[in-house]
Amino acid sequence: MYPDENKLETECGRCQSCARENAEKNIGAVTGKEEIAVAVAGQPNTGKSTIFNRLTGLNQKVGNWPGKTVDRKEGRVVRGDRVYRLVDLPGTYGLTANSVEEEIARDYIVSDDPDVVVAVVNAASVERSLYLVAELAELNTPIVIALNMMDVAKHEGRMINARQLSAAIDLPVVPMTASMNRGVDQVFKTLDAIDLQHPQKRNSVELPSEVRRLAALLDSPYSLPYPKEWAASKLIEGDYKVIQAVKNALKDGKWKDEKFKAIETFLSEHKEAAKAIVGRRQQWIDEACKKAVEDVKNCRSPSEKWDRVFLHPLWGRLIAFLAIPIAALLGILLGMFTGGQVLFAAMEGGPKIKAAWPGMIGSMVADGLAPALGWITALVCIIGFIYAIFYFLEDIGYLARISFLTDTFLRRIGAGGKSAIPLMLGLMCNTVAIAGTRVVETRRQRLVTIVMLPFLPCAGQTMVAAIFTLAIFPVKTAIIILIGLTIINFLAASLAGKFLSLTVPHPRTDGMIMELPLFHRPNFRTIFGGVRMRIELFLRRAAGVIFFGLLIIWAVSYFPKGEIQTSYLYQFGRFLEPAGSMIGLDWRFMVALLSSFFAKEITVGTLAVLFSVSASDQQAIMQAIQNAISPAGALAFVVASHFYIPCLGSMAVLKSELGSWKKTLPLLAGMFILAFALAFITYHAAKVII
Amino acid sequence: MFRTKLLKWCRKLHKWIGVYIGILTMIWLIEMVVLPLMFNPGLPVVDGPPLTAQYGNAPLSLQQAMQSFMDQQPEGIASAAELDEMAYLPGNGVYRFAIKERFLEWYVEAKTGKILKYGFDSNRFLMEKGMLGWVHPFVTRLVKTPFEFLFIFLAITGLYIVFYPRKKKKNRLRTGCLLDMALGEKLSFMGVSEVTLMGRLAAVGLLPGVPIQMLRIRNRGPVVILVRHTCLALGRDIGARVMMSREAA
Repeated sequence: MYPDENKLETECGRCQSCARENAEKNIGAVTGKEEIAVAVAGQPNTGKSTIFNRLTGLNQKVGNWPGKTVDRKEGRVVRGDRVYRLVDLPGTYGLTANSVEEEIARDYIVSDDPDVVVAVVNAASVERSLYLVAELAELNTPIVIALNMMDVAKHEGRMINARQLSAAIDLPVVPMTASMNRGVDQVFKTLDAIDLQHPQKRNSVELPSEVRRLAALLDSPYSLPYPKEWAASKLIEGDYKVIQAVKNALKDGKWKDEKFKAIETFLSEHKEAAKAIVGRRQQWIDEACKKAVEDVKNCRSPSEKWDRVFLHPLWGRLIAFLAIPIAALLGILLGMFTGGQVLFAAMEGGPKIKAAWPGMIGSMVADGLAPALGWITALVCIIGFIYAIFYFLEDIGYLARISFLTDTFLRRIGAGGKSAIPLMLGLMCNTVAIAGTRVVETRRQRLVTIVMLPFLPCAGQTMVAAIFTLAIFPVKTAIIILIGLTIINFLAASLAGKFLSLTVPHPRTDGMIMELPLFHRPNFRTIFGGVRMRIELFLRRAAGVIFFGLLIIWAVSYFPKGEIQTSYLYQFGRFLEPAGSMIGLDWRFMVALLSSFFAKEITVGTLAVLFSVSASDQQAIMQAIQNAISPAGALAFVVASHFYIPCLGSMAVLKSELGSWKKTLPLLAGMFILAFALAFITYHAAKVII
Repeated sequence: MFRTKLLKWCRKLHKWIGVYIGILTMIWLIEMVVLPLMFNPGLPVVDGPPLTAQYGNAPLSLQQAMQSFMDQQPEGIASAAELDEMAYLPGNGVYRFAIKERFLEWYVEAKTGKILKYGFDSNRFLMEKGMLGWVHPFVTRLVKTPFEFLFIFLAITGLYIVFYPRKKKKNRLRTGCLLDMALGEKLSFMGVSEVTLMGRLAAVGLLPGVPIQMLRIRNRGPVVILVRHTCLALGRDIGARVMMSREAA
């Protein structure tokens, strides 16, 4: 359709994900069945993922959008002569991109040209959800409207007549309650009935004449990767990306300067046209809803009652600050009681394995493979449970409230309300949290959040600190140290955020616009789907690094002579000892600190190997630590461990989010220097006090 | 100008010191209820002055009093070795036996060796363990040290606020921006001047003429509005740019 499209396909075909996608596309050709690409699009909080999960069942594949760290979910369903390839698009309020997720959704719908779009509409707020449909209707792609959450609408006192809505906008409308599996099959029946050979009839929005006139100006042998009329309307609406695309086209020499000037002149002369476009869409929505939507008067929303407590400036905040740590702690405990048992069993079996297979094989299995598998199993369970709890909170609509409550404070340090969720996740896993900063709207706020995150102690760092402090100090003192240290971490993160927000240019951002979804019953299928996806991603991205990291540590602690006293690890530790002595650490603790580079959780495991005690025997490790280090040194170790550079997985994500090593390395170097300086001060101060 | 600034800072300080003292008071109140339940082994409370015994005969010696005391099998103590304080109070004519670490005390009549009063010294306990003393004595010192100074400051700032209260603005002009809406007020959305913001707001349902109800508005932080059956949280910077029609929706 567009000349640039071929170029895009050729370039994209080189990367692995696109090659896989192309191979999958060919399956349809091989089996002789017609392959239909279906985009599942919708505004956030419309139950889009629930519908996608219901439609595809377990036939899902998780990956990344090319060149982005946003998750891409795809599923295939065979029905009769058709193979439906469903793509779950990130939630978007409209086709004007305001975030990376919205850009991905928009570009897939507009540029990748799916065969059908299943537009998910929230029946409880149908007027608002129809805005995306109004924009979709301006394109030529066939649309099926999934009118979801009919049960919630009923609870909220709204009666939606799907037939009348369908008649008003001339598009197929399927009323459904995906969480209860009602109406899901009807979506497929409607998809089956769509004739892809002929354009779908519809009552679309009639845009003002300025759009057509500007589209005529865009007419050229070298066109944009967007349909002309759509691009014209977005230029009028001031869509930054579309303006950039026009400028890029100009830069490539495809368009003449005069033409761009003409476009600019047109835009400056027709500033009111944007209002007219928005007005026409509103008119379209109002007409559609006039007959189809009926409000039952005096019906009070149950969410209102809950919001009196959950959005209360004092009680709401108290609940939030209690709920999140409790949720995290519960996830960790559940993980330790399930996967953690595998880890303990693997470690306890070590001596038996060594006795059965003496020599290198036995040592490798007992000290390398078994603990590594145990750690990964434990981490999978912990991450799984933590995500299950957080997805639950998100699904019932509570996480958005937390963002709202924390916005005032976080805005002062340069972040935003939406930064609260990644920041809280950062207390469990920095890798996951840094990747999760994509939910933050503006680039500046996201940058501040990313820089703050490595300063927050993850669950692994907290565990190491707990073991060290409990080994050396009485319980009460240990708790005070841990709390004090975490407060210092928060202060350091806030200072880093504030410093960055002062130095990074402050463009006039569009600020916070966030929907507070209605409270509703959780859908466990969606929650488990999300957990499954997260675990899959963890296994694919981080588990391998942790597994091989632990194997490398075993190898360097075993070779060349099969004993730790002559190993490479020992030699390297000895080499670092002079630096360690400045902060009261001997070579073993320096090596443990270095090993935390692979994953913070393996610090204790490394020490267990170096002390030649069972890693599952916490008492033995604590006893060994007690004998090997002074209280001042232990404090310095805990401080260094808390401020030390993040793990390998986090560093990889950090680089990917910051865009280059040029931005990542100064941050890491700063953290390294800060960790050493703080450990040095702590050690010498503690020596005087204790 | 200076007075306005001073008043502003007085208000701020008064508020935050008040919050600090309020939190400490809450902690103290909770501790008064919870801590004795946790630390008292179930003995009666021994607060107040020790009883005064009858004078007359010469008092028993310490060993005799101790023997008599242990013979009565007192509650809360298994052997005399646990006692870390044994004192004769001549003014009252009683012996006081105590386990200081556990805040337990027994008062024994010096003349007869009979236990007059015993139990848990909740006053001393709350003085030592209250105000987070149960965490660490250093924490108590840290919390208590600025308390008196801050209390004086609270009084001064409070007086200043009383004598120079904020003058209420008369006939406040309604500029028509979203932040000027009162809680529960329902007005119509008029628009925003910026094109990009207009598109963004339109996508979430904020279209010209749409009625908006203010659900939550405070002195700072985002506001919550109800637009077409959807609750939206808008940052104050956005709210200041959103123009409302003055006619009620």
